[in-house]
Order: sequence, then C-alpha cells, then structure tokens
Amino acid sequence: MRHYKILSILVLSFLILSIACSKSDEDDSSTSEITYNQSQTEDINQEDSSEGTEDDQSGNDNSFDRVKMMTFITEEIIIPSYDNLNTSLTELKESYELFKINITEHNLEELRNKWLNSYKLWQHVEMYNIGKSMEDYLIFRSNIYPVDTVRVNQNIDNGEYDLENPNNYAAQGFPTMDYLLYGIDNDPVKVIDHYKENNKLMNYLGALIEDLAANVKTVNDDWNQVKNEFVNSVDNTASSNLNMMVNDFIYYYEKGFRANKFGIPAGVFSGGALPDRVEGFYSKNFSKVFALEAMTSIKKFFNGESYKDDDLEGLGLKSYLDFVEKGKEELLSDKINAQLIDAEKSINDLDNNLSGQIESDLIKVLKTYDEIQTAVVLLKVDMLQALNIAVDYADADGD
Amino acid sequence: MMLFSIIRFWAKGWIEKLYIDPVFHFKYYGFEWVTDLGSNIYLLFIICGLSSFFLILGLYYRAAIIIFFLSFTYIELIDKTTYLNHYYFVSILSLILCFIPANAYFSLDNFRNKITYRSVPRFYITSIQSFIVIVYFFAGIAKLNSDWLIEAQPLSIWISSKYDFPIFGNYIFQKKITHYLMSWGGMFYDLSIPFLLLSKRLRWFGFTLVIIFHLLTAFLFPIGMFPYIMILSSLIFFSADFHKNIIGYLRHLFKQFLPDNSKIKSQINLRANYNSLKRTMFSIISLIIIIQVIFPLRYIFYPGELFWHEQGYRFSWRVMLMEKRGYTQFRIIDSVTKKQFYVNNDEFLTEFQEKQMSFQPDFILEFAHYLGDFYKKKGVENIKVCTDSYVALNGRKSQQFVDPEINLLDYNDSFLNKQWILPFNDEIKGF
Repeated sequence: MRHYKILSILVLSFLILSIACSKSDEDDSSTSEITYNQSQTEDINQEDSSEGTEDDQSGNDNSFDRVKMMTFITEEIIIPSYDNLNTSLTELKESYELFKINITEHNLEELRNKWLNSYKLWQHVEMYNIGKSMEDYLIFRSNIYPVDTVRVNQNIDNGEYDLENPNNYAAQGFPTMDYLLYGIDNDPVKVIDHYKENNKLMNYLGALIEDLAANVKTVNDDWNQVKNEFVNSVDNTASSNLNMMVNDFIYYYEKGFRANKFGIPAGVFSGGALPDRVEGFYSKNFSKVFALEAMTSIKKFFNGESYKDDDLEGLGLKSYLDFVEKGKEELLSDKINAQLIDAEKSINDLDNNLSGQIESDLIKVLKTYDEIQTAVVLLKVDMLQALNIAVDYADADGD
Repeated sequence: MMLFSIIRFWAKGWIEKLYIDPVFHFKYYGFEWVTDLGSNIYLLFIICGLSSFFLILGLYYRAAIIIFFLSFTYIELIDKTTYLNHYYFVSILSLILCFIPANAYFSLDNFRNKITYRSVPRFYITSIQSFIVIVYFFAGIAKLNSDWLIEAQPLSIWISSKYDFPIFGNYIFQKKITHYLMSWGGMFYDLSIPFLLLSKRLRWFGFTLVIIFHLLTAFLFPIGMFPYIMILSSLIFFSADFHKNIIGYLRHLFKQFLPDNSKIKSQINLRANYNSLKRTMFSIISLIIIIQVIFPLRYIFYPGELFWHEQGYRFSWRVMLMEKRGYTQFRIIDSVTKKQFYVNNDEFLTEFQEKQMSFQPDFILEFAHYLGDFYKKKGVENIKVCTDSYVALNGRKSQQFVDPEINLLDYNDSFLNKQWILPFNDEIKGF
C-alpha cells in the first residue's frame, strides 16, 4: 500500500507543478496562510488579464516584441545594406571591364572610386557574421588585413590559386584590391604601366572582384530567402538568432571595429605601434572614412534606425534595453549612445591618414581607442546583464 | 545516481572542453599541486564511474566510497572555473560516507560477508541529516539580504529573461510580483524545509515541497544535476520503515539475480561490535560537521561587501544569489621604459574561463601571476601586471573593480583581505 501512497503523491506533486509552475514557491508560505491566499488570487487575476492583452502585440507594457525588432533589423537594416553593397559591386565589376579594355588614368580613377564606395558599404555588413555569411566565411574572404603581399605576388605569377584556401584569406578581398589599385606604385601612371605590362596582374584583380561580388550576392540572396524564418528565432538560448546576432554585434564592436581598426595598429596589444596594420593602408587616406562608416552602422543597429531612411526608427537594442530598464532614472541606452558619440568625435579628430597619425601623434589614437573601449564595457557587461542574453560558450552548468 | 552524472559529463564532451583544452587551470588556494593529467584524465573518469557503479551495488563498499571520494574530488580540484555548489555537496557527502557503513543492511557486501545488520547507530543517520540541514540553513540565511528580498534580484533579471518559457514566459514571468513571490518563497523554503523534514507529521508535505521546488529550479535554470541530487538526498529524513519498503521492492525486483537469503547470518545490531575504531569514526564525522558549520561563516572576517569581493563566498552554500558579469583586461608594463601592452585573454583562456575570471578576484590574481611568469620568460623586463577591470552586480551599472594602478604581482593569494579590490559603490544589507 505504501507504494501507492508514494506514487499518488508524486503524481499529485507533478500536477501541482504543472498548474502552479510560476507560483509554486508561495506554497512555502504555509507559515502564513494569508499571503498564500492573496498571492493565489493575484495570479489568477494575472492569467485572466493576460488573455486580453496578448492579442495586442504592440504597446504592451509587459512584453517586448522581439520578433518585431528582428524584423525591423532584418528588413530595414541588414537586407538594404546588402542590397546596396551588391549593387555597388556590380558597378565595380563594370568599371573593371572598362578598365581592362581601356587602361587609362581616368578609368583607373573610376575603378578606384567604385572600390572605395563598395568598401564603405562593406562596413555596414561586416558585423552580421551569421547564417550564410558565417557559413561561407564571408568576412575572411572579404576583409582580412594586413595583406600578405608575398602570397598575392605568388598567386599572380602562378596564375593558379584557390581563393577558398584559408592561406589565401589575406590575399583577396577589399584589402588586396587596395594593394593592387594603390600599393603597387605611388604614381597612378606607373600603376597603369604595371597593368599594361602584366596581364596576369589584370586577371588576378578581375578574379578577386568577380569572386567578392559572387560571394556577397550569395549571402544577399540567402537573406531574402531566410528572412521570415530568421526573425522568428528569438528564444533566450545560445543558438537563437536573436542571441547570436547580439553576440555578433558585440564581438564585431570589440574585434572587427575596436581591435582591428585601432587597437592593433596603435600597438595596444603589442607594445609597439604597427602603422602598416591599418585598414586601407595602401590608399592611405580612407582609414578614417571606413571607421566612421562602421561607427554609423553600429549606431544604426543599436538604435534601430533604418539603413536607407535616416528618419525611420524602429525597434532595436535601445528599445529592448529601455523596456527592460523601464522605471530607472539613468538609462543604459543613453549612456551607451553618449559613449558612442564621444568615440565618434574622437575618431573625427584624427587625420584621414590613420597610419600617418599613428606615426606623428600616437597619443591621440590611443585616446580614441580608450573612448571606443569604454563602450565595450557598457555593451559587454551592462547590456548583456540587463538583457541576460545567453552567451555562445556557456553551455556548462551554473548554480 | 552519480554514475549517471559521470556519464552525462562524458557524453557532453565536457571532459575535453573543460580539462584538456585549456592551457591553464585556475587552482584552489592550497591545492595548486593538482594537475590535469593530460589525457589520463579519462582514466580518472573511468575510475570515478566504476567506483560509483560499485557503490550502487554495494560491493566492496568501503573501498569504493573512498576511491569515489578521492577521484571525484580530484577532478573538481583541477580547475576552480567549474566550481559548483552541488559538486562540493557531493564531495563532502561522500567524505562523510567514507566513515559510515552504508552497506550494513542491503548490499552485495552482505552476500559477500554473509552478514546483514538489522540496525545501525542512530548517529550515522543524524550526521548526514545534519549536513543537509546545514546546507539548507546557510542557503536560506544567505537569501536574507536586501538585494534578494527588497530588489528581488537576481531573480528579476533571470525570470524575466525566461520570456520563451511556455505559457508563463511572456506574461507572468514579466511581472514584478512574480519575482518577489519567488524570492520570498525561496527564502522561506530554504529556512523551513529542514524542520518540515525533521518533523514526522509534516515530512510528506516537506518532501512534496522539495520535489516541487527542485523541479521548478531544474526547469528554470541551467543547474544540471543539483535538483535531483537534493531530492534524493532528502530521502534520508524518512523513517527506516520507509526505506525498508523501498528495499523490499528492489529485492523483489532483482529476486532472480540475488543469491539465496538463507545463508546470510542476520545480526541484530551493528552496535554489537562497537569498538574504538567506531569511536574514531564518530569523532571524524563530528569534526567534518563542525567544520561545515564554521567554514561558511568565515566571510564575517572580511570587510566590505561579500558579493563584491567574494572572499568567503565559495563553499558556503550561497546558491543562485548573484547575477555578476565582468570585463577584465591585463596590461603588461615595463616599469622602466613605461612601455605597455594589453593581453588577449583568449590566447590563454577558454571563453568559459575568461567569463569566470573576469569578476572573481582570486581568478584575476592567479591569472595575473601566470601572465607575469609567461612574459618574464618572453623577455619583458621590470615587469608589472595591472588590470582594467569592470564588474556589474545584480542589475547595477558596472563599476571599476580592481585598482588599475596596482601591480598585481606585488600580491599573493591568501586568506587575508584583498586590499586591491576597489570598494563597492552601493550597500547590500543583510547576511
């Protein structure tokens, strides 16, 4: 008979659990019967009223519409950014064809402009290392610097190379084009001579442009295909798209933006400055432009601002944070925005030629780095705590 | 039970991830001599698993429990990154069991020795019960603080982030009142459960609460085996009749595998061969229990906020009390030339280690010394290691954690107060 008793109590407790789930704890208030009754009625009231509010998706005080946020970010920020980059790369291909047929200073200038435009647009997609982009190693194939010039010249001479080989990551993409368009000689006339004399050089540049454009197009097409499915994955698990995207954003800010663009060339991690490690080293005058573009994309993502229409604001991390922090006096999102603006100002004060700036006045670059760094703490510690986002690696137990 | 835990650990590939991959392990103070054994660690897990299998069978009990205790504890000592209260619970429990003849009544040892004992000294049972009481008691006391009761932190953060929980996630879990009810409920639970389990009348009610509470935590939080361990452990509070019933059921289940009962000499009382050895056992167990009462209280001797500096936090049954995140970078400085650079933590630490390191002072100090040694060998002269460290606790904004000007190489880990930790900008009242 005893087994029966055990069994029935076990079953009973499971029942209570499934009914009471969120409120089972107050069962403990057997010590005070009154609290127990009160809380139970309160919970019932909550359940009743929840039916009414759940239909009303927007403007609900109690829940934040994460799908809506993901939809805005995907449709108004990510996809338009890719569309633009895609178009620009098509133009880059066209101007290459012109240049190939007619190797003139003017056509070189056109080619360089299209490259610059595409590289600027690239700054808006680099942070989304997710889905197809991650699968295809798009970032590694597009923006690894410094350039491995030895490898580049080998590839040109051989005329045979596998761009998917990781050893060739530093011999392709925007940085290598920077080298091929500016780095082979300071004088544009001489650059033209190189292309006139060396057909292999011309072919390598063409192959890189072709490859990059194809890679971006694949990812762009994929985004259009998966977007509906993508925006619905908003669970708080390490593998949900929402969490991966937030983690990617922070990772990009810390590595792709802070370390690659400023920290490493300024020697923050090495003890001595490495001015040849800047982004756009060979064209010299665009490092700052790229960094400012990247900052714009960071701010847009954080605040949920449309890529094309500056006035169109939707749901972004800022609104998510404000929802979690409602009732607080000092909003974290304000703090983050203020810090991003300080960092932007500091970048603006630098020379266009970051490499030259590092050599002439390193302190100024280090100060900029510190401004950028301050926001890392806010994003990585304060924001992740407030949102309690599950992180990629913590699949071990906690207690 | 523990066998399952070991298998689970293995299956998840955690052995490799936690013990073999890292180039560096964070050691417990006083246990720096423990090494990771390289790939021999699999052997250790096998030993640990086998010993727990023998424990289940009750075969060669004494040897099995000692081996289990040693191997399990050794594994835990390799790297304190993986510190969990329930692993510590298992270690201490198995340590106590080393001195207790838990094989006395129903085990294969009975068939081996052809003796079964009808009763064991009350003290053995009491000792395990009092250990569990201690655990609940300290866990309850620790919840008596202003963050837990007045701010409902960290549960506010944790529960509202469970918005994807079926049915309740999007509405009830977002309600402040839910967070308060859970905080207060958890506190009352921890403080009252030992008494409920001890009282004969309320025992079933108490045990029902144990099941509900621990299953709830198992659903809500990533806390692994802890809930199940606690549920089973609390069975020790039930009467001997209750356990005989279970055993009777098991005996029935395995009837055809068990040798004939009749050959076993039934001895009424284990007390019969009471001798000086047993008395030693009693005093050892008492000592363990007394240490368990005193050790969690050591935090009293440290000034400042316990949650902030965490001196006296571990091994004190402070469970699920803090949402703490940090960000810590190390600067390697040549104090003569003033040249300095930052370390990439991920060159040395796994992400899990980095996460744990970034807000726990003893981790920060240990890693600083490791970096100091590493870069000294690499030829950095007049080396200083400083940190830029920021920590946020229970929903507060982050603040600087370690004095950034201080050379951590000037300090060694000890039980003395760590003065290089900057004071906490807020106050948490309570225990």
